Amino acid sequence: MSKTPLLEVKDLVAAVDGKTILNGISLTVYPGEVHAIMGPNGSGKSTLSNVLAGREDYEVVSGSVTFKGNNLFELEPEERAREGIFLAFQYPVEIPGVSNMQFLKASVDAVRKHRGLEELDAPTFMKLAREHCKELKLKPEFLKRGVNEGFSGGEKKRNEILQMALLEPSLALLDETDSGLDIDALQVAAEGVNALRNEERGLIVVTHYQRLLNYIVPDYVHVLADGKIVKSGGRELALELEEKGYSWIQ
Amino acid sequence: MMTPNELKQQAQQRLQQQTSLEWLSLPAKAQATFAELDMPTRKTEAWKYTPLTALLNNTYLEQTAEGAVDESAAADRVGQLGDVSRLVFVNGRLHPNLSSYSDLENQGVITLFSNANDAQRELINAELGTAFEPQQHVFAALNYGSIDEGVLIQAPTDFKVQQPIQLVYLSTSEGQSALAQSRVLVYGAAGSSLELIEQYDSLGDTNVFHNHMTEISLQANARLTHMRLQMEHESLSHVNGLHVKLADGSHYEQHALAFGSALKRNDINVNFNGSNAYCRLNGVFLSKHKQHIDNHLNLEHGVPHCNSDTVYKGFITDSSRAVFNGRIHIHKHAQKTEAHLNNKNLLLSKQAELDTKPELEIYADDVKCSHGASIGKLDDKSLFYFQSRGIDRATAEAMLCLGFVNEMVEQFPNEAVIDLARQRLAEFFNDVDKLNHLWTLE
Repeated sequence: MSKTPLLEVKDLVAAVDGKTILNGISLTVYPGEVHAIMGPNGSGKSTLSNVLAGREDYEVVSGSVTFKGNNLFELEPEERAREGIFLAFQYPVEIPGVSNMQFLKASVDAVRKHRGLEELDAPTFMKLAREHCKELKLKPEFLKRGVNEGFSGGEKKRNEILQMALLEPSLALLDETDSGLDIDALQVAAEGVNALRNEERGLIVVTHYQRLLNYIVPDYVHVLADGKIVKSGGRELALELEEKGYSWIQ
Repeated sequence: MMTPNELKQQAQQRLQQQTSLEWLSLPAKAQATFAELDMPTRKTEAWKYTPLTALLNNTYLEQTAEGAVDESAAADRVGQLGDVSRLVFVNGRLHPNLSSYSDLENQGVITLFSNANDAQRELINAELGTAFEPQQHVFAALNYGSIDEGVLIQAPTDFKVQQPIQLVYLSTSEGQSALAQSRVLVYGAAGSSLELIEQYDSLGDTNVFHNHMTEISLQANARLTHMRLQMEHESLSHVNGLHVKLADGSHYEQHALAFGSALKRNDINVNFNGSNAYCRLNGVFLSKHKQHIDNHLNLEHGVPHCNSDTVYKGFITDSSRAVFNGRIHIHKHAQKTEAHLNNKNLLLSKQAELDTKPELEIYADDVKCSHGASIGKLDDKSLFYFQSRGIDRATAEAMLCLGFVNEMVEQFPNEAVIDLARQRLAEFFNDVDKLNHLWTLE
C-alpha cells in the first residue's frame, strides 16, 4: 500500500490495577478505513479505545502505538485530541453547571489553536453548532443545558457525535456507541458518523453487536477475546459472528 | 487577644448607650437576654468549629463605623442590577445619595424605623425578635439591644411588588476596627409577593465587624423570593441572622452566594407555623486563603403538610475552613411533611477543612424526609472528558470548579443578579479573562 498508516498498534499490552487486559494487540489503520472491533464483554474492547485516548488509570506495559508517525504515548490526552484522536465515550459523564455550548467552544478553540487556525467568534461558532444539532435532530436548547446533564442515552451519544463533527478528528474511536440506543436513535447516530466518513479519516468502531455495522459498514472486522485479536476479516465476519455467537471464536 | 468574657463586657458597654427609638420595646428585652448569655467558645455546640478569634483579636466593639464613603466607587459596587428600588447602607447607616426608593417609600412598602407611623410601630413591636429563640442567638441580642435604625419592608394584602428591592450593606473602613450593625424586617401580608435582593459588599480592605439581622414574616399565601449575595473582602467579619416565619400556604425561596470574610457566620432559621407552606433554601459558599465560613441552618416543621428543599454546596480550598450544619426538625404534629436537605462539597486542598453535619430529627410518623452530605475532589473521569476534547488540565479544573458553583448560581431567579454573581466569582477565582470568557457563552 502506498499510503502511510494513520495508526499502528504493535504488540500492545496494557493493564488496569495490575491486571493485564490487553495481551498483545496489533492493528494498523490507514486513512479512510473503517475497522470494527468486536468481542464479548470483558474482552478488552473498551480498554483499547481508552488506552489510545490516554486515560491515566490504564497502564501501558509494553508494545508501541504510532499515530501519524509519532509515538502516541509521549502525548498527554489533550495533545492526542488536538492531534486528531477522538474518543466517543460509551458512558459520557454529566457535568452540571458547565453549559454544553461553553464546553464545545472551549474544546473547539483548543483544537483549532493547535492546528494553527483562528478561534471562531461566538456567533459563528453558535451558528455552526446549531447546524450540526439540526443534522443530529437535537433541539437548539440542547446547547444551553449542562454537558450531558439529564440527557437521555440517545442524546448523550448524539452529543458525542456532535463533538466529533465539530472537532473534525483524523481518527475517531467509537466506544459502543450503539449501547442503550433504540433503533431510531441508532440510525441518527450512524448517519452522523457516516457523514464524517472520508478519504482521510480513520474510524475504529468498537461494538458488542453487529447491528451497528448494518449502518456503519466496516472495511475490516477484528474479533477480540481475552485481550487479543483472535480473528480478522471483512464485513462478512461480523455477520458470521452474529449467527454463531462469540463461543464460535473461543 | 481578649477573652470571650472581655468581649462580652465590651459589648455590654455598647448596649448601655441610649436608643433613639424610645417606642421600641425590643432593645430592653434583648439587653436582658444578652446579659444572661455567654459569648460562644469552642465548647458551645453551635460554635464548635468556629472560633471567635477574629472578634477577639480586634477591637471592633470600641467604636461604631462611620458612614462616609467614596461615592463613585460605591456607586460602581451597588448599581449593576438595573431597575430596582435600592437602599444602600454604608457601615449600617443609610446613604441617601446612593439609594433610590421613593416610589416604594411613598406607597408605604419601605419605611425606616425612625419614620414609622403608629401602625407600623405596632407591627414592628409585634414582629421583631419573634422568629427565633433568643437564648440561642447572642449576636442577635447584641444587634437588637442597640437598635438605632432599621428598615421595615411591608407588602400590603394581595400587593404584588413588581420591582425587586435591593438592600446593599457596604462595609468600608481605613485601618480602624469598627462595628457596623443593621437589621431589616420583612412583612408580607396575606397574598402579597415580593422579590428581595440583599447584597453584602465592601470597598477595599475593611476592618469592620458587620452584625446583621433579617427577619421575615409571611402571612397566608404570601410569597418572597430572596436572593442574598455576600461578596465581601476577606479582611472583615460578618455574623448574619436570617429568621423566617411562614403562615398557611406561604412560599419562601432563598438563593444565597457567600464568599469572603475572615469570619463569616450565617444562621438561618425557618419556622413553619401554618400548613401547606413551602421553603426552598439554595446556597453556595466558597472559602479560600485563611477564610472561615460557617452555615447553620435550622428548619422547624411545626405543623402538618409543609415541604422544604435545601441544597447547599461548598467550595473549600487553600487553608480555609468551612462548616455546614443543616437541621430538619419535624415536630410530633407535623404529619405529611416532605423535607429534603443535601450538602455537597468540593474540598480542593489538604490544608483546607470542612465540617459538615446534616441532621434529621423526626417525631412524626407519616413524613418523607432525606438528608445527606458529601465531600469530594474534582472528578477524574470528568477531567479526562475535558482533556479528551483537547482542553488542557488547568482549564479543565477551572471549568469544573466554575461548573460546580454555577450549578447553584444559574438557579438565581434574576438574570442581572446572575451576571453580578458571575462577575464577582470570576474575581474570586482570580482568573478574570479566562473565566469571564466562559460565562459569556450561553
